[in-house]
Amino acid sequence: MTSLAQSAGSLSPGFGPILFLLIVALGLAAAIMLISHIPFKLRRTGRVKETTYESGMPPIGDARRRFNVRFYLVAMLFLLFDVELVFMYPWAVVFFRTAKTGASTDWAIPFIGNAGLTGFLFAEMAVFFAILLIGYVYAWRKGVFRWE
Amino acid sequence: MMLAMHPIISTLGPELLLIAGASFMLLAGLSGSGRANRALPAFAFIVVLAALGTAYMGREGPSQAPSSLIVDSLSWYVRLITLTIGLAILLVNFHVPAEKERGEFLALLLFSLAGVLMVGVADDLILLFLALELVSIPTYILIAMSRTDVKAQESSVKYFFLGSFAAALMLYGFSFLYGTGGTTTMFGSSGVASLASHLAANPAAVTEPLTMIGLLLVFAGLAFKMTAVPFHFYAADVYQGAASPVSGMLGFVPKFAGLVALIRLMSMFGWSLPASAFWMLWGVALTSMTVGNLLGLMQHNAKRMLAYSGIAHTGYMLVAVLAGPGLAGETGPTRNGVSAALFYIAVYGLMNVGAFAALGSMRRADSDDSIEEVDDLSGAAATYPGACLALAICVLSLMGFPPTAGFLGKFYVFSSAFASAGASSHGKAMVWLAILGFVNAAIAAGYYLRLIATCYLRPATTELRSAGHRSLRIGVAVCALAMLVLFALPALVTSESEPAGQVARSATIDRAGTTEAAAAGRVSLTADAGR
Repeated sequence: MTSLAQSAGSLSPGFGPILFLLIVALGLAAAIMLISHIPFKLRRTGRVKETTYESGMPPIGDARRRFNVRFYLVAMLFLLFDVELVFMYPWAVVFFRTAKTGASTDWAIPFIGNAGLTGFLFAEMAVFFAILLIGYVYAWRKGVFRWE
Repeated sequence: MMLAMHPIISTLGPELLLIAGASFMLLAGLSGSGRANRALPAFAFIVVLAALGTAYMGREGPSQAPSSLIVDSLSWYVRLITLTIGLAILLVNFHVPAEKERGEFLALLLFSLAGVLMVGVADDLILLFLALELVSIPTYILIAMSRTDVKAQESSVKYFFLGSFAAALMLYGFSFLYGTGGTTTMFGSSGVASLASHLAANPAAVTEPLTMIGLLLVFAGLAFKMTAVPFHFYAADVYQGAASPVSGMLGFVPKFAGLVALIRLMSMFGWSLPASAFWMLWGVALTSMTVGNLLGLMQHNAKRMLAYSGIAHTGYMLVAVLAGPGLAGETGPTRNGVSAALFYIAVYGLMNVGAFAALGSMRRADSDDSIEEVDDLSGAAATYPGACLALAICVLSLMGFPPTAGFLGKFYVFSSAFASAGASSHGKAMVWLAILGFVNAAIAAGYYLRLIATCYLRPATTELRSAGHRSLRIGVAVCALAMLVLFALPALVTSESEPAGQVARSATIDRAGTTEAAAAGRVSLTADAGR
């Protein structure tokens, strides 16, 4: 694998890891599909085995029934906060590195110059947070969290 | 306090103002108090006015814009036109949302306008993509909110899925462009690695398959935003489903964003395209005009008719974009295609909003929706002389009839196409495109005149009632009046569109000459390449 990534890297510099990721992703997908289709001896069939998978619950009724749209709203809100936290990890790393050394990674310099880096980084996250907060308050006032 | 002076904040003043105002309205609209709700339209109007003022004060731009932002006369033009027409769009849309949805509706409208402004200042592919999506995503919701009808739901969902698909195509194209240049910066300041400098330094890179794939995919995404053939299928259904004033907004806002992004992209390529890409755009321009007008002829629904006319107008704008920015010294819209296209979209925005809003101001007595069928307009001029006069002026302008600004728009577009023919390496193709454009303008007269004739010459058959708020009538009157004023004083717009068109050109000054371009199999759209 490494040699393949290296040879790809020599073709177009910097894209080796991306090719590697591509191969891993495609390989994994193909492997999973293949494994599930290989007829093992252990393969059993039966009424229970062939029912729809419903997170371990016994499936009830038709799949086309109406369901409360809140599930979907809550999932979206979960995504909101999930993504927010994911963004905060790299931000925290850069922030503390900047606070310690006075200069952040060199990519940040052309964006914001050298002065007031930590203040800027903090403000940036504060703005991001404020925007998400507006979305949260909006959802709250809209009654997304009311379960009656 | 240092933060308040930060270059990013001072550069993005109008955009930040719009977004802050919209966020405030989003929350204020939920307070449920009727008084706050009634004040919201005026507040939205003031926010847009304030953004316009901020844009005016910052039109010179900072001495050095923060990286990934570009502040030049094109971005000022985008701000000026978007916010000015935004005011008209606000006027005609005040009555559209239900009382308790007003805050959300107006906030989404402002978000969408802020997106167009961001397209003007974006100097980075990722920022450009986000800006284009900021334009589109609120419009999906606006359509669904504008009517309680099932048709609005259908058109919203249709627009959403197709729009997401087009956005994905465009983003995929951006990833190829990133792959060729190794940077997402489009222009950057001098000395910074950018796609423009990469393409300028390696003429061969323009015809590389990777660049071509990227270019093709990005064109596809932008063609969707601009409703150019072959990505026009949704337009009629979506415009028909939305409330008329919202359809008017849909015809202008995403189209303008797409046009500005296209101009930026073309100047990134130094206005010299691979021959195949030139012919592709040529074909798109021609088929957009022809398909739009021919299908427009067959419509008996006025909203669908205007939607197809919008497709044809996209074709005219693409003719001007293909005409390119012309010779170095020539900034006038008769010689500079970019100026012509920018003038055209400003005029188109006003006449389109005016025409849709005029339709929206009349309703069948037995219905809660604005009139759709052309036949419903029979004899409407007798009962609604004002609305019909405004509709007639806007439609005449769409047709390109002399005492209206639409005539000047078409005149500039076709004369810039002829002007470019003398110098561009594909001169004959441009001449033919302009001639076929004339033919198309004649075809289009067929359905535009039918609309006017129905209002004025046919006996009344349907009982109509007026609809909407007083502000709707003011907005319609303003749009119609603007068509006449801009015919008399086109300099009001061209004085701004000329430097904007010139800026698009400036990136090309140190470009390779025709011989080299021809050797690399490219079509140079800048006229000075021959000297």
